[in-house]
Amino acid sequence: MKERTLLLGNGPVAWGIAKALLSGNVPVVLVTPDTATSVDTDDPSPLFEVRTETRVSHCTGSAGNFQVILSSPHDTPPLTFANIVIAEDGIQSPLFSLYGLSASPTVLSLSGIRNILASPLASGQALTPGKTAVFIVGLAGESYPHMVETAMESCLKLQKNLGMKTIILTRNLKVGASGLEALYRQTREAGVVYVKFSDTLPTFQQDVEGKVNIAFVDDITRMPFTAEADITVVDDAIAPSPYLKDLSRIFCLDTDSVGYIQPDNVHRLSVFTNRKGILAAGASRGMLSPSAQRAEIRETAVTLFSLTKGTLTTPGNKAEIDAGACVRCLTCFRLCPYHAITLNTRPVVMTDACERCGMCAAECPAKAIRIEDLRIQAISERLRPIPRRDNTDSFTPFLVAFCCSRSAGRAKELATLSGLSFPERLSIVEVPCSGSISAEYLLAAFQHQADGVLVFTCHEGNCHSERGNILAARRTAHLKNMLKQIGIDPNRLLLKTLASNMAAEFAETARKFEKQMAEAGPLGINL
Amino acid sequence: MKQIMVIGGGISGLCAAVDLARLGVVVDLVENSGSLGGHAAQLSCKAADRCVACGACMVEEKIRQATGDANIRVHLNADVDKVDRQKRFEVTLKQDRKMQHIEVDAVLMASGFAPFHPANKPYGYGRFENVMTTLELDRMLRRSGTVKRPSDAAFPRNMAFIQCVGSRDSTLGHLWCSKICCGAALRMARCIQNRQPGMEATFFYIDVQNFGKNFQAYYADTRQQVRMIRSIPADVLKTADDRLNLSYFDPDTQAYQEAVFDMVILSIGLMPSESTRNLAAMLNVDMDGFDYARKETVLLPEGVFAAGTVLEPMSIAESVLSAGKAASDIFRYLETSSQI
Repeated sequence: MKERTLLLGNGPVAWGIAKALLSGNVPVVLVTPDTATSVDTDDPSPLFEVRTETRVSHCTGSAGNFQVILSSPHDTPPLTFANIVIAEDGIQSPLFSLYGLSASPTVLSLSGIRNILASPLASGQALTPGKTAVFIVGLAGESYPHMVETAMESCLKLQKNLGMKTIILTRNLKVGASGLEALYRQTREAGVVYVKFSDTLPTFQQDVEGKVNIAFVDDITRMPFTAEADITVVDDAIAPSPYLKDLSRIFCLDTDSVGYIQPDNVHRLSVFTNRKGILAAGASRGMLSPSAQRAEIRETAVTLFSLTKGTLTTPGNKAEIDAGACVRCLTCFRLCPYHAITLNTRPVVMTDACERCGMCAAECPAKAIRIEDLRIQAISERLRPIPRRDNTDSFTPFLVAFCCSRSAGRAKELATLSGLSFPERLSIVEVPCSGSISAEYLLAAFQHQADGVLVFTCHEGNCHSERGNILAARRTAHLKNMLKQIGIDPNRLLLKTLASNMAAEFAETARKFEKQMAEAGPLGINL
Repeated sequence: MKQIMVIGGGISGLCAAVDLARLGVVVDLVENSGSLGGHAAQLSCKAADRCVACGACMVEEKIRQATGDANIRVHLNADVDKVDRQKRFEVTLKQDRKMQHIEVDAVLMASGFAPFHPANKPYGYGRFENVMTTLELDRMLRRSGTVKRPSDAAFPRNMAFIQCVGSRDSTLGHLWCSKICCGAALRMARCIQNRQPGMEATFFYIDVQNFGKNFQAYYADTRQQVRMIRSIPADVLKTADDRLNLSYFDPDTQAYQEAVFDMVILSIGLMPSESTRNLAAMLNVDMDGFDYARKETVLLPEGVFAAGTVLEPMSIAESVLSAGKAASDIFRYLETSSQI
């Protein structure tokens, strides 16, 4: 069963994905460290298998052929999976201590009050008419719409059904989700009081009986106020599952600053990771609302079907390592952002996972790696100088621009469509990623009589290969230094970051550079 | 071979079309304007020193993928004129006064939003050249990379960004937050500050909404760069020296204050569009389902699906997710309906 998927998680997102995949006849093995499943597993499908009390301990291989070792009470041999989906739930924990409060029958968490109000017998000594409930939402950190929604719905029930007074203390009321502004108006009409803070924050004093005294300066009137809360409700902090740390290490996945398995890079939207065949969904890839998490189930399924069909494979020549020239320094292995290089007795490229970024070929100290159409000979052939027009006496510099095909390549196309003008003698070399632009490329451009060379990369944080732009910038800086040492004006080499929709900047940068090089005159040196 | 029609060539329509085409479904992508990309293709890159993940650049790649896919047929300048529902959908497309009949198994509504027109707001839009909408500012940034005052082509020394113009407005009956404006305005303010150092930005708001994965840190940093005033201005008037005088209730001083700006930018809200209304009528969909103030999910007839800002205000990232969900739902529908 080579086409089966390893699904990690035990929450609603993981189970939803399991169902969606099974309905598409994709075999699934659901694996969780939990002792029991969160849903009854009476699914008789021969395509479905569940393993509880099981963690992932090791993974090799690539998309279509991952070899995964699972650690569980019973020793298991490595299993083969075509794809892997990480859909671990997040951790929600009340922020009592951040406000100097401690949990008690009258100091509750947001999920606590929701559960109480969900039961038909929602009353108690504190939940009686006339008493005051104060909700603390987004004072320690900025809140999230679905938490605000829980707070507003709880207040509405307390006001309407139980005749209580309710106050919501917040900084920025997060109403950016379906129906929340309308719900907000409804709560206001029902008598819910909102106190918003911009610069100051309230202080809280919890007495032995569990009442909380609140002192604050009102933002609108700038007057000091106090309030006594019979019931205090504190919002939750949301954090990624600690297990994600292990998983990101085992599967070599990039994470964001918080620890979710997906860096803040638009190229990974919606459920992609840096590795082909490994997807991250729901609370494994970021802080998502429950409705977004539900949408994520379907999105993950459709992405997985495409992966299974092989329609997400990058076409073109892939990296090849010359076994004879390789000195096994492992530079490529460490560098590859897609983790497409595996170690056998020597580094081997997993062709399907290679995205042709060319970072390995550009950085290999032994020059043992090549991507056929990105070889220096192939690039040199694309560098034929554009002859000068005969009828002018003035000097028109010959320029070469190396462009990432995802950003500057598209910007150039857009600029052409928009009728923007370019330098007359500009030769454009598109490469899959600026990470492939080696010092050799840049020198080759000068060797082909370029008077100036431009390097266009993506903005930091927008590189499909995560670090290709950073490596290109480093190499460019290094080469500028070299040029200076051999007496060439380093300004003849220019690096600029650009996005695919920056047509105007592309044209303007090229024109400005042309003017600058025209003033500098012909390079006139044969490197 | 299963065939579907995607109505709307914006980011949601493009993403859904590409997703389905990859699964072997033949897609007719219908766009009523002359080019693909919708609103997203009018937006500028808002990177300051690094990418701020606004997602605007994604649309270029999606257009390339859609136009390069043999399973996708693009119909530009085309309107849906009539839909007959037999076993399949018989759609009549009107293109340059020519009519074309296409039979499909399912229809995806991805007709997007309409931007709020702020002429009736007391901010002088349409009367004062230097009062612009966020969408117009975005287009200016995209076109030229810098911001200049329309009246005299001077670089603005200071700019005011007014939030919630046409959103969260009970007098208009717009009981929804447009969700994307806080992010768009603050990212643009900082992008301009980065390219035009010294530009002072002031942000007038009710509540700052979350945007992006890295919101907490970005917002904390932004508060150091942009002056934040929790107040929605009363009006905007032109001064004798062609600047804009803005009056607002200042929470700090507890009094009405006036401030003068070189430019005023209105964060216009998102609204259900007129084309959605027409489309809904043809597809027998209850238009109330597309009221942005609602909470419930839209109930659609069998074979009709919806994605993106036709449903509610969404960011580009959310539209991509919405499109993926719709593509998945459609794919499942096509598989199950073919078994019957």
